[in-house]
Amino acid sequence: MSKNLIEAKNLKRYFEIEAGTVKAIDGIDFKIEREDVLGLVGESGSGKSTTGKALMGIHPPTGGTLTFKGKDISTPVTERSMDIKKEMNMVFQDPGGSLNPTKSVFKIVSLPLKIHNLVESEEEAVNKVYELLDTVDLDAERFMYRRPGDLGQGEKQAVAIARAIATDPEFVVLDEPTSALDVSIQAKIMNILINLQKEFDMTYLFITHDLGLMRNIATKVAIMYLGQFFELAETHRFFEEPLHPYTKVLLSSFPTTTEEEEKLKPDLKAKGEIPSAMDPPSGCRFHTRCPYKEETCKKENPKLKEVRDDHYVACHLVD
Amino acid sequence: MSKNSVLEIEDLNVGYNTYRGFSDVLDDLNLTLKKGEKIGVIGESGCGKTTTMKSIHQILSDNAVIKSGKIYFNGDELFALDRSYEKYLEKGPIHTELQDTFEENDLSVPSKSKLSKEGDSWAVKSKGTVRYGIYQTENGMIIKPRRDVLKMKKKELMSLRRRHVSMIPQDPTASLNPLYKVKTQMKDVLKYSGETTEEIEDYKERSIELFDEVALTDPERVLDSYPFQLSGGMRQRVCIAMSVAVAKDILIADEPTTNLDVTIQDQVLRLIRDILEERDFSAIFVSQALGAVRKFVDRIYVVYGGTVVESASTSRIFTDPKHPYTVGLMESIPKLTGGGFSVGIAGQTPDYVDAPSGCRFHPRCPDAKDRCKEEKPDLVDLGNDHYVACWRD
Amino acid sequence: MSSESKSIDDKMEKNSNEKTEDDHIEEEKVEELTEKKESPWKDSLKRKWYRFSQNPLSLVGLSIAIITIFLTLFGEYISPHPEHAFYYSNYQDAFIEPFQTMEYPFGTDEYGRDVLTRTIFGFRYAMTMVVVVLTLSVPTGVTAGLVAGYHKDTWVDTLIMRIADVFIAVPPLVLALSITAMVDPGPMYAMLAVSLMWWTWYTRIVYNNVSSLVNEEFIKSAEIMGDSKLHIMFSEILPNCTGAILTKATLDVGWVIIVGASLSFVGLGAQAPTPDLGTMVANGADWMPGRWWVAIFPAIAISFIILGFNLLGDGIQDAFEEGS
Repeated sequence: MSKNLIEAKNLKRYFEIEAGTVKAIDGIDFKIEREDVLGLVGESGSGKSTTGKALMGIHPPTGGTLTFKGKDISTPVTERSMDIKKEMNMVFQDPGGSLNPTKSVFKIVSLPLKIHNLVESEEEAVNKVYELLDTVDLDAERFMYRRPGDLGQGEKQAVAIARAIATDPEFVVLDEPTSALDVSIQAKIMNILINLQKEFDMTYLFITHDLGLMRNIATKVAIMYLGQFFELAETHRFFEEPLHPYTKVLLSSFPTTTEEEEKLKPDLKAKGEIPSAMDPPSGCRFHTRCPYKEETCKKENPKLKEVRDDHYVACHLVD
Repeated sequence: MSKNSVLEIEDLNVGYNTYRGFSDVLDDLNLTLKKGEKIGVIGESGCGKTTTMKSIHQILSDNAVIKSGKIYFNGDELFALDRSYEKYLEKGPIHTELQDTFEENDLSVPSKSKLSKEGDSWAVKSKGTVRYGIYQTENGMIIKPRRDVLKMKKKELMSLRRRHVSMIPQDPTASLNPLYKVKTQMKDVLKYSGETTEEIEDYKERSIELFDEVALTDPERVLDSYPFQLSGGMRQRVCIAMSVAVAKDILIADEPTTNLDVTIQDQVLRLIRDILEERDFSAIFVSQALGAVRKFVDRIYVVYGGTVVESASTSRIFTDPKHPYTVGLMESIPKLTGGGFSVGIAGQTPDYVDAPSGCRFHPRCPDAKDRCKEEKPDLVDLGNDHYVACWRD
Repeated sequence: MSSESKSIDDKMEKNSNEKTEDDHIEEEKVEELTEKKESPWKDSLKRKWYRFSQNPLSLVGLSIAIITIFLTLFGEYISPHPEHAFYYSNYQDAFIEPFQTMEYPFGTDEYGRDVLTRTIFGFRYAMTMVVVVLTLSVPTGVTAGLVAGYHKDTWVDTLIMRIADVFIAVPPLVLALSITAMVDPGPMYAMLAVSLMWWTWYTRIVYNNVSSLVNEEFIKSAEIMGDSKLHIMFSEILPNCTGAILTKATLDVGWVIIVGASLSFVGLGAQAPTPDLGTMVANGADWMPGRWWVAIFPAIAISFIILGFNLLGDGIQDAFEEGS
């Protein structure tokens, strides 16, 4: 069996709205290997959330190919086979929105079990849910029959995670799962996610804007800007040798708390606002804010090319 | 009362009436903001920092109950008296000459006010509350009003909000009225700030000046737009412009960059810092993220469970945090240098309807002792202006 | 697939083999927990009651509603002259003024029938109409709204909503008038006529609710896991609409009564001598203003019921508002 769980080629997702076309994803290529954690970093308008949703079938691609274990998954989620739905799942950013406020935790977590016929009786369901809540560090007795409204943000997210792994999926998309959480709870949830990944040999697509999180969970990182990849490499390479100017800008804006971290930050600031995804700048989309921009940058859109060992960059000025 | 302080929160106790009972949020919260100082108030959600900020502005919800405490606001100096007035400064009712001076300057002195000495300054007291403080300086005496925000009536509150305390909100989208163009909203702010029409003849001109300061390119276009036509960063900049439009004493920034992208966040924070420095405001930065305020404040107050658990200069907090909560918080922040994630802090934020006894952090503290359950620790001065509320020392 | 990666099941089996004692404890807990299922309801109800009872007017509305229901069910047992309800004549006792005797507190009408008794019986007819109309229109309307909302921007949506538009466009009274004019007038037809268009209101409300919920992440999550459309509509979305539906239904009590009374007033509803409140007002109108009590008391009864259910409806709306 191939070691690539997910393969995307020239993936595109456009949205037609009244004002024009939003090119949320505009031609990206990537592969996610088994048991990898691909981190997708970007700011607003980058298309990172859309990428996660494209993989899950919420916003199916409008161009390019997308496969899961060799099978085509460019269809909307409602048209996918039950097998695939069992193997792929997602955790959303807003813990409140992803849980039905009128249902108890038990109902929420047991739903996937019942849909895929993984339990045969109520008792079995209770047992399984109990175990699942245990794996995410939740006091099952206390929370089993409570509604999401009674839970704290971190607890809600833990429930969302328990639900996502209930069917023992191979692949989970995590769309900024800790952005809405307090820092101390974030650490707890990240630990749970890391442990789960190792214990159940899952593959993650971890979407975030926080480089600190990325550094500590991802095996590979991709930087996205206005629908395209700017840099793609193994995690440690980013922090040892960030190549793309945008990567450097991101790193330098990161709010650090220690002196050692300060030393890692390049000193590069961007100017201006992030352009709209409806009307991206010509040529290299970063040229309007790039401190290094040159003439070619305005005209030609650089392609992602391998400039170091397994380290890809899309910039005219990097060799 | 120190003559340097511009805002003093003293033993504030605020709670809310809920269907489950009384939610006792703020528990003797103490905080001091000195003139020209920039402090950071750090705490996670549920720690009470929003309640505190709302108390300062007196915009608490209907079911809020202020059990006790005072929020003293010491405004700008009003005028200076020369030393000749010293002879009038004696205990007892205010001398008529002094009273005349007050009235000439449009300051209201409630009837039956008394003058009394407090330490090495004087205070004008009415009904037991200090209304004005009179301080000695090299050149003479200055008079500062010292008013308890919690006891202010509507008119005084309005004046407070318009002229003395301004706020940069957390969510600029929610704070700007989507129905009106930016120029209308700017005009409102300038109009109500109290500057007379003689001083601001052209609201538009002043707005453009301000927009230039907050680095908004194409200010004319911004003025003519509706808030939804602007990006998040631009809206926040408009809010900042509104807050600094008229010279005020205190600027409160309530998590001003949480909703912004990280590169814009950086830009906006630096902008706020530059503006603060230029205008010599005193400022309170409320935030969850220690890292975000590190380069922008002189002093940090760490709040947990409705009370201040540690306060020290910024560098001390980062290099030598003492309180177990502060330590836990610092460790939870994922580092660019790697190292994985800490286990966070065990437990969850206290349920204020049934708050933990003694030190509210004790259920989550790795070093909790018996005493921690029984008595609430006071803030202790460890020297170097570093205060911690913990029984461990 | 699962043979290559360690499944959660395998792990659990391993764990359970290692600790048998814990298994026993777990079993007991499992039983306990399976029985405990009802708890989220109670807490939710408590919270709603708290919000409801904050406004004293809501409690007034609740009381009126309870009185109305009581009179509907037990009216015939507590009214002083149940035999006066339908056919009865005693011309000697006709037009006795109200508040004169204990025997006829609200006076008597042109046939000597006790107005109080007839008014109490009137409650029953009014509420019967309400029950019939709502039972017919609420389920249809809600289902139509659910299906249309979930399939927003497809032909299903357009079809259902345009049909609803047609029915909403016609004022209920006019529709009822035209239908009942074609057949023999009577309460049955009146009720059917009203139901025929009443469902559209529920469709509208539920449609709006559902459209806003469809993009919520918990719905997306259900779709991702493979939940069937039917299950999503009725089990995930519908419970989130109960507040709006209940509020509308409560307020509708008043509306249905007015429409019903109006129909009866113009003679298309219940026919005399049935003690229908609207019919009574119509008959009594002939005797105004001299013998005012024949029309006024039934009219007050109508207002009473409507006021009560309106206040109740407002209270229910407050109760379902999440916030504090």
